[in-house]
Amino acid sequence: MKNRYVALILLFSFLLEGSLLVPWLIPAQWQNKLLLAPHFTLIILLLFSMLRSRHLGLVFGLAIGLMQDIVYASPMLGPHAFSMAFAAYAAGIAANRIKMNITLTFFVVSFCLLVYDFTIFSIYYLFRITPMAYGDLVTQLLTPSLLFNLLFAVLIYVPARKWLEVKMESRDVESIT
Amino acid sequence: MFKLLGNKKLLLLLASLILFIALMGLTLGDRGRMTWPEKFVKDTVSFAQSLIYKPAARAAGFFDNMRSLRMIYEENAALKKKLNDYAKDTARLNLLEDQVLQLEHALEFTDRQKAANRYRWHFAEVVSVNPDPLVRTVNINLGDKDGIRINMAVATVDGLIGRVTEVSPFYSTVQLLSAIDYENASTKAIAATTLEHRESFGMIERYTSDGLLEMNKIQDSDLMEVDDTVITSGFGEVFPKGLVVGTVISRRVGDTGITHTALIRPSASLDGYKLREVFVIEMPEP
Repeated sequence: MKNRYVALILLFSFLLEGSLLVPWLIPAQWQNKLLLAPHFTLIILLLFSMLRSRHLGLVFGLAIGLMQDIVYASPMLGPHAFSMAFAAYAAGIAANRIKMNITLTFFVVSFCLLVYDFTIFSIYYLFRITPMAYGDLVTQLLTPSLLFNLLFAVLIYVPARKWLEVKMESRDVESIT
Repeated sequence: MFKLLGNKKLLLLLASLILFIALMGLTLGDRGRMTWPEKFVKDTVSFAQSLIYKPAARAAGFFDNMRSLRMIYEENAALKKKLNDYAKDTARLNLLEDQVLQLEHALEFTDRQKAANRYRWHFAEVVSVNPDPLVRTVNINLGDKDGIRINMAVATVDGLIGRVTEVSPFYSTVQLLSAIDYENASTKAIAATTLEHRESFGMIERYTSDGLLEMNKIQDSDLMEVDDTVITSGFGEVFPKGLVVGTVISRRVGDTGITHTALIRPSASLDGYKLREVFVIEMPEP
């Protein structure tokens, strides 16, 4: 049942992401220099995948990513679907293998955020869609977006864990339902 | 060693990578019409977003207003002056239009020739902005059913901002000028000239990281000067004639040494998040 609510929350945050959320939260002076990508949907997805089920995380990632590719008319279908599903599954695997505490969780979340942005950039770079150079990418996009998104992750971490976490030993059995 | 992925999973990952690369390769570039599942998803999501957009825009607008409260007097004075000019311009425009009609009649223009410069401006509202900063697009709330077609030019009151790249029945996607780059095949260069020197010509081919447009292929002998107003020339057959793009801020010899390159400051804001209302420009059928 909770999984359905999570799907709804993911959908809602996806809708919000494209609206005017960003200029509202970020000082106008920064917006000209930096390219900030809000990844609120991805963060919720990562936490879900780590605390609950990586398989469902993969499926949700595919669905939301594909939706983003279609709605915003990405130059081609697939980059967001692939990277989102990949990041969510990787986070789930990490959480399954390592005993997680709060520091490690944020480490994995930030790593997956970087992986996500970087995968998309690499795909665009491969297909010659963005003229941006690697150096600019790190200073203008990766670092500021990471910091901005981590703030959001810190904000929702405690409520998300309380709500989502299932008992360790029954994780993989329960997650399918 | 610490084993992260089993053999089976690794194979699956590689297979899906191949699958996705194939999908990306197939769907890259001009695909023409959208397929019906795409149309359905795009219209439904955009509709939901348009519901969220209005309150969000209100809230964002409120903070903007607070910020600009101080500048309101200066703005008022400037607007009054503009209004004065506007009255003058309207009178002149009416006279000129009369004259043009008479001349067209005297020269026996066909109906098609007469209609060639009459554009229709469709008013549209921005529904959502692409959260991916590497792809600069916005979605607007006009679509196929409202007569919007691919490649129509889009402008704000300040000037040209982009071109329609994808159309679903009720919504369409606009690629902003800030995406223009000669290496990117999904963007189109703009053939431009200037208001002050109508015989000058150049191609706007790139958006620099400083927020300026780069105009290349300007002839050595061209009379274009700094502070000229750049307008579209209509020679490219995509963007209609006479839309304001920006002002020239510098001119130098280009990289090849044969032609000149000018930098242009766009007159309209190309930041997707600052766009609220836009106009889609429909040209008469050729």
